[in-house]
Amino acid sequence: MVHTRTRRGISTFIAVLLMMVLAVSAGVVIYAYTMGYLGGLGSGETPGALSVDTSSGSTSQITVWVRNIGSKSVTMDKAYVGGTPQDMGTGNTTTAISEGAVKKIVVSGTFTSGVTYQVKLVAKDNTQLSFSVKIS
Amino acid sequence: MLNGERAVSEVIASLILLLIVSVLGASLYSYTLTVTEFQQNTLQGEVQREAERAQERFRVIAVGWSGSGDLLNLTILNYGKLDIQIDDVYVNSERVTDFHAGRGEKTYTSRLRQLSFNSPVSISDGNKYEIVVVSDRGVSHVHSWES
Repeated sequence: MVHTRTRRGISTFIAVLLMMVLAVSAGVVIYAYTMGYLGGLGSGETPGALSVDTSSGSTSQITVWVRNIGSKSVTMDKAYVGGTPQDMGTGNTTTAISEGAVKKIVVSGTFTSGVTYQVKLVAKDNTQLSFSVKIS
Repeated sequence: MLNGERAVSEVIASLILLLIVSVLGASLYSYTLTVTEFQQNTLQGEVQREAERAQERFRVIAVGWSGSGDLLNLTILNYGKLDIQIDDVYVNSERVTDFHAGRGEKTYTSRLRQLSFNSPVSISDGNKYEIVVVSDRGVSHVHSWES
């Protein structure tokens, strides 16, 4: 008892205040981290699903019939042929392909006859569709 | 110890803290469950769709043409595990728009389906055509046909 009386320390009131500050700070940090992680999961836009019915290519354009097999409308945004961005026309990037619908998409450019190109179409919600087409 | 100050007892304080922690925990649990359920349902839907696409099996077993005109009759065999529905046909990458019969009708497993349509491409004797038949799940079958 004598030894305890001579020890120096902070009062219980200050100790409680310090604990509260620590707990609140830790809580804020954990909350921020959790919301950043889970919030991204919840609000992240789910991509749709597309498939190719058929495709063909000439030296000036690639034509593809795209089917929306997902459960949401998809609006195309970009086209890449062999990794190079190509013109898809404003009509294709403004009109949505509704669920279950089919749309003809024409990608313009200069292509070499007999060559097989890898084509990638990217929608505004990041739905992606890749296929290859041989230029006739 | 309290020097005459008024305060709640330790038991009450513990109960209040317990209540706060429980409410916060329940809220976080509910929110997390909602988010993960949405993700799980989305993933399950995608897996199911791909599984069904993989199980679809059909092919063109006959192409009928009278020898003149553009009217074609396809005979489709569904030899997969799932019922199918033919939604579109393409001839030389041109979409068929003039169907007479068979489009959108369910074809049961191990059964035949007749598709009748006017070809968007003129049919002439001795030429080769690429006919693509597409189901509503987006599965396509390519058939090369010589008239």
